[in-house]
Amino acid sequence: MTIFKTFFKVGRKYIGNIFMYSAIFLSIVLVIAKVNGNATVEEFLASEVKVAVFDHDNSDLSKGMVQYLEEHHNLLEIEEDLDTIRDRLYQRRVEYVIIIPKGFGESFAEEREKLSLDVYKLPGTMTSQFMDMALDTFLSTYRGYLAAGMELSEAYAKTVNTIVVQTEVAFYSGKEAPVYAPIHFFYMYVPYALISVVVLAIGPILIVFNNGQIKSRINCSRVSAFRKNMSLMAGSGIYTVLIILIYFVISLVLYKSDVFNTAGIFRVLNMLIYAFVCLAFAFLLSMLTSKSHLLNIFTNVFGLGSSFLCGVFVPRMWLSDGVAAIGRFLPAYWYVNVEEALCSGDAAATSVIATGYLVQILYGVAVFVIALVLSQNKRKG
Amino acid sequence: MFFHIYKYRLKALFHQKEEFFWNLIFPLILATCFFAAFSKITESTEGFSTIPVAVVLEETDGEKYFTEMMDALSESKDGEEAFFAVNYVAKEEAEALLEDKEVAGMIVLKEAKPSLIILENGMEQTMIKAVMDKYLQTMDVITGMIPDHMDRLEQVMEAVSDEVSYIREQKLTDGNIDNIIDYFFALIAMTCLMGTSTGQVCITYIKANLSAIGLRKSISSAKRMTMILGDMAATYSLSALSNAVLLIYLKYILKLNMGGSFLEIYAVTLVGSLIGISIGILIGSLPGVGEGAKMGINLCITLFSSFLSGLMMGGIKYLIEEHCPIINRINPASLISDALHSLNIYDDYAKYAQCMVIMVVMSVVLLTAGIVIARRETYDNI
Repeated sequence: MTIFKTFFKVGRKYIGNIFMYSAIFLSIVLVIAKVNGNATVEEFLASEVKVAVFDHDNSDLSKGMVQYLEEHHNLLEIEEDLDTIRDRLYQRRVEYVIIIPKGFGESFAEEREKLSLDVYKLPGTMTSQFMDMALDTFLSTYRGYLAAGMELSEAYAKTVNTIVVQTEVAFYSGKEAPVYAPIHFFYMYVPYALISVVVLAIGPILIVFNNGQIKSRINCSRVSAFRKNMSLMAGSGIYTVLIILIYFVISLVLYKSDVFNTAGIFRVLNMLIYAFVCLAFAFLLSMLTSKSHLLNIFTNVFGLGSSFLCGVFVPRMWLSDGVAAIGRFLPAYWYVNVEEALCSGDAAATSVIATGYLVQILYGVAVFVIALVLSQNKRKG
Repeated sequence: MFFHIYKYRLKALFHQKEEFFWNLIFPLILATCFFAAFSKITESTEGFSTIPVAVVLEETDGEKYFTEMMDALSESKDGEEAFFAVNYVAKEEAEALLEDKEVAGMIVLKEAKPSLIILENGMEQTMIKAVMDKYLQTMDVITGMIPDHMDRLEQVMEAVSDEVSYIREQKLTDGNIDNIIDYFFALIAMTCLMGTSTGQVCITYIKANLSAIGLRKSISSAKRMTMILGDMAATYSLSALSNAVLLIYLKYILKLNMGGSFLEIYAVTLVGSLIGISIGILIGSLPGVGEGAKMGINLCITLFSSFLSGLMMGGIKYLIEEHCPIINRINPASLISDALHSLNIYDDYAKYAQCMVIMVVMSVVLLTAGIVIARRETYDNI
């Protein structure tokens, strides 16, 4: 019990770190969750392309095209300046820029070479293909009516009527699409926060006991290495629960009833298990180094690296198979598996959740055992 | 004296093998993780690839033109990818393919009219619908010719079916338009700002109340400013080396297109490291603040700065630019990222120069403040 009680005496000096790091990483998680959080849309929504148009022609045709783009896409106003166009396209705040040259409408009315629309677009992308097709369809329909011998105004009116002919779209009812409630986005980014907070807040306390004079004094006492490590784990465990509690309370305040349904309970359990995996890492690191500031480098590398490779910051469907295979060796991958299963509502979700829990627990136990073995070897050495 | 301090601090830094190794290697590991994670992302999210669809022909009337159109779209032309990969199947099989996400949508042709069944909203589904809309609209034009314009039917069909395009693509930039490169810019910014912790260590080794070395140095004859600048120069040299290694790795081994030349990009990292170390020196100089708290403040600044420049969430910098642009003007990581972005996208150096000037001014101000505070500190007793 001596080591256990001393842990808290030392921990009092570092308790501020727990709250400070929790606040730092919680803020980041909340901002990302807020910006990315989205509800499932129940009806078909055609992806609207963000388009900017500069009409130098001002003919009926060009005005009609602008109106068509306004009704069917997201027409945005930007400055007609090349650097601004480049910036907006790069940032994806605009996805397609059209410049209608002077005389464009006239070139369609007369039997001469048709002028082209000058476009700036993102090469090789779906949106650019889609917009190319949409514009070509509009203009070829107009040409078709002109070819029938209609007057310009009649051809344009007919084009507008034709363009509204749409395909019927329905959602397939046999399988439900995953439902991504806002609480999902909070818990999705928690692994990044947890690995950083647990290692940075509790790691320095463990380093105090595993290095230097304190370590030597404990080693020559009658307390066995196993008992010492169990005491330290127990103390760290209590601080870890404190960290979990902070995140739990925040999620309760933000998502209220979503926390107390079945999925919410599984999420909290998932978070608890992952936190103990992080604690095992903190324990191992305290054996490997005596310098607290190196923990920062570990959390940056491991925390950020695993967040990108395991599908925390980047949706897993966008990762290549090779990366997904590497990710399987990291505990965050199994955390994300559980989180995705909770959203899918699949019948097989229960087994995915159970597997995710089990792998994380085994991972934590394995890392802890390695730490114990290292501790034993260091003591003998 | 300056060079003496510089030389021995540099030696000491190289002897701290653990820190030296990790400060050099950590950005390379992260860059590799990013490279691996993002290798397929642009292709998956934006890139056009052949769309798999299932087609169910419920009636045989009117299917000829439709199937001809679908078959034409399934062929690749001029080396470009085919638009669709069409599977003509029965309804049950089509549903199974849709459930397993092997197809993006299921097209059911009935009474010469296609309808679309999908599992979820997305760009692929929008593209399928657009092609179906084009088919229906073309049919609408042709049937609209009956009976008043039957004599011009052939010209009308030629006009609507003609594959001429009315679009002329303009060249956007020679740089890299794939905005995934922003993550690497943010990583470079974070690497520069990691200098906050080394800057803090500079001050720790000078202040008598913070370290034994500081105690010994404070009774030496060397001026405090010389000591600070000497230590800082050594730390900065190591940071410059680390930045060079990272840039060589990004540009020549991962072969990322970052737009500017190596020297232009390296200049940004040199100024960025200066800011990082200056912030660390200022934080380290703060009197009455514990070492743990200083580390926390440094971490907070590095993390938040990097987060706001888009390290964890792409696009946040542009959201901030829209709603509160002043943050991007004072956030060091955003300034570094903006300077690199301007090298990538713009033809001139106006924005690049603006970012560099702001960063240099910030560094001078922060460093001056840090030195003034550290120089003036005296102790009644230690």
